Amino acid sequence: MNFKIENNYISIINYPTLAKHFEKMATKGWLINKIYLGNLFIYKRITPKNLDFAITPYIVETQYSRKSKSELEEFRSVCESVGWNYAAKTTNFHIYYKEKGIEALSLQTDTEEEFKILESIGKKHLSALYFQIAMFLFLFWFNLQQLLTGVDGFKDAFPQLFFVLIPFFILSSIIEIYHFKKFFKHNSTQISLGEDITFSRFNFRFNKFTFLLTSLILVIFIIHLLYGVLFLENTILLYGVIPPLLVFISFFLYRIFVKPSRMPMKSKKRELIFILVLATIIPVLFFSFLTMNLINGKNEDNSIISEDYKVISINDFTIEEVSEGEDLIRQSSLLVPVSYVYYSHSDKPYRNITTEYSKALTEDLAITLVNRYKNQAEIPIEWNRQEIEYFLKEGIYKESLFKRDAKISEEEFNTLRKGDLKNAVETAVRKMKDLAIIKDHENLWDLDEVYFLNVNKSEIVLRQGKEVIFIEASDLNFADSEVIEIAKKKLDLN
Amino acid sequence: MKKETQKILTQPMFYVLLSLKEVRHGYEIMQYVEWLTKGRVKIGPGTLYSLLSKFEEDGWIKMVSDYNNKKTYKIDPLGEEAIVQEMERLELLLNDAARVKEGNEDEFQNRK
Repeated sequence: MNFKIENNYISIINYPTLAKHFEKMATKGWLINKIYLGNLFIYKRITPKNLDFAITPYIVETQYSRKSKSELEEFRSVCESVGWNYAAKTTNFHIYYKEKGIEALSLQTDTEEEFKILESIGKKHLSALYFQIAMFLFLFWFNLQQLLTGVDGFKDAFPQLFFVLIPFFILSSIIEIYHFKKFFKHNSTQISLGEDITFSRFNFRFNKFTFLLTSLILVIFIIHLLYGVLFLENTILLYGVIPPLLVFISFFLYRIFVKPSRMPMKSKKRELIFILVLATIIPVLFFSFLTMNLINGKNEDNSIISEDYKVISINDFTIEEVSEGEDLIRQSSLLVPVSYVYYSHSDKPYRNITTEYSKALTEDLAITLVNRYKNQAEIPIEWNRQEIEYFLKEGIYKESLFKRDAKISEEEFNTLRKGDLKNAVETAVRKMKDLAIIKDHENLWDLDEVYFLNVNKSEIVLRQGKEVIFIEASDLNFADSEVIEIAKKKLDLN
Repeated sequence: MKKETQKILTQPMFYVLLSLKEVRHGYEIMQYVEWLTKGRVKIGPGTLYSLLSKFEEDGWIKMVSDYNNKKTYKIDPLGEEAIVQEMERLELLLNDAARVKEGNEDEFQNRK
């Protein structure tokens, strides 16, 4: 093979060490040719040679500026005229080589100036790392919640993939920050004493591993995305890709046209802020449009649902057929290989039914998924907590809340008020949950597991073996024998 | 945006600004400095081009032309001011050194 790929790491604190590494590679017949993302090193085949390498910090791109092709060419030709040959470059470094024994002027001739450049690069990198850590911590917390308690975290592959990556990113960033700060602290003193810069010999193995893992997960992510869009025809996934793609294109255009231009700095900053605002607004607008589209559903003469799908629709429960909108979203993940969500909606009369079907990998996972649905059903009850506290405090007996949803009589309400407020709220919430989320003790459905998830029994989760079906209907009672009969037949649960 | 003049210039900063009293391109700056200092000071391309970017951003120099992958520069008033201030600072240093060379210990001990 005429090329070689290596997972390595280049930064302002270790680049002279890498120069030695390139020299070693050259003696084995490999010359560094390209570096991507500071980690992916591509070598090309050469005759083994003894070469000297010089790596110089040279800022090619910042937030607001980017060296043009002619500027890079000029720098390159000047380096070549003092005896060096161009090898590769990154955003912050240029790499040159020459044959051993041939005289050439050093690319960096002043330690103090070199350190100033490194400080400039380092400060920006550190700011980016701090921001990264904050963002990853937030994503980790959000993903953790989803993965541990959420239904989507179970059925969706993306939180599962990101959850694996995030701790590595956080730790990687912390390692970098530690070494950068150590480098600047030590060398600030060195430079003020007129000494040379001391570079790090740390191997950054963890950071290299994180890059490798990220690349692998990115490949899995892309495969999963393509599978979802092409085979599962999950248009939501496709729509989900569009906003980040538009944002990426905007930043790309900014990078190509605005950064290298001779526009005043103020104008460039204005352009960047405009793009950042656009990057925030586009996804919000897009997903609002998408949500409205989903709510309205599709009206087609031919249903999008074949008999293979275990779903129920509005017309299953009407004598006369009504005009119905419907939508189907298919998903897949490691824990739940088959799942889909079906929305059935009508305007006259206004009704909607949502069916979420999942087939888990194992029965234990299916049982866990049922528990997730039960946890999910507790959330709207928890939202009432503040309201309950307020009414208890003020002594207002709201019938719809206490009598209907918690079966707490006025007498019981007054007794609760006399005790500790926190306990009273807890008791009320507990009662609401116990009333809303109940097992099918009468075995009306005759399935492995059945739970009604609200007081009206218009929400239900069913499990038969590895299959879990969640249904939410605006005006059906899933304890009604007629409804059960129709639903079981349609869902093939007889 | 033009920034305030720096107080102390490093050796490469001083010589690069000095060389830009006339319009020059990058390689010519390196050759001029080496000639001016009789080989004592050599400025590498990495050092030079970082300084040129910084000076241009701070308004100390301006690009005069960009032709055939060669940009030429000339010093601006802010850059001239920086050189003048540096020369005054260096003159003060030399004067102080001259006084010490003349021998002024008695003057110091009897200063009160």
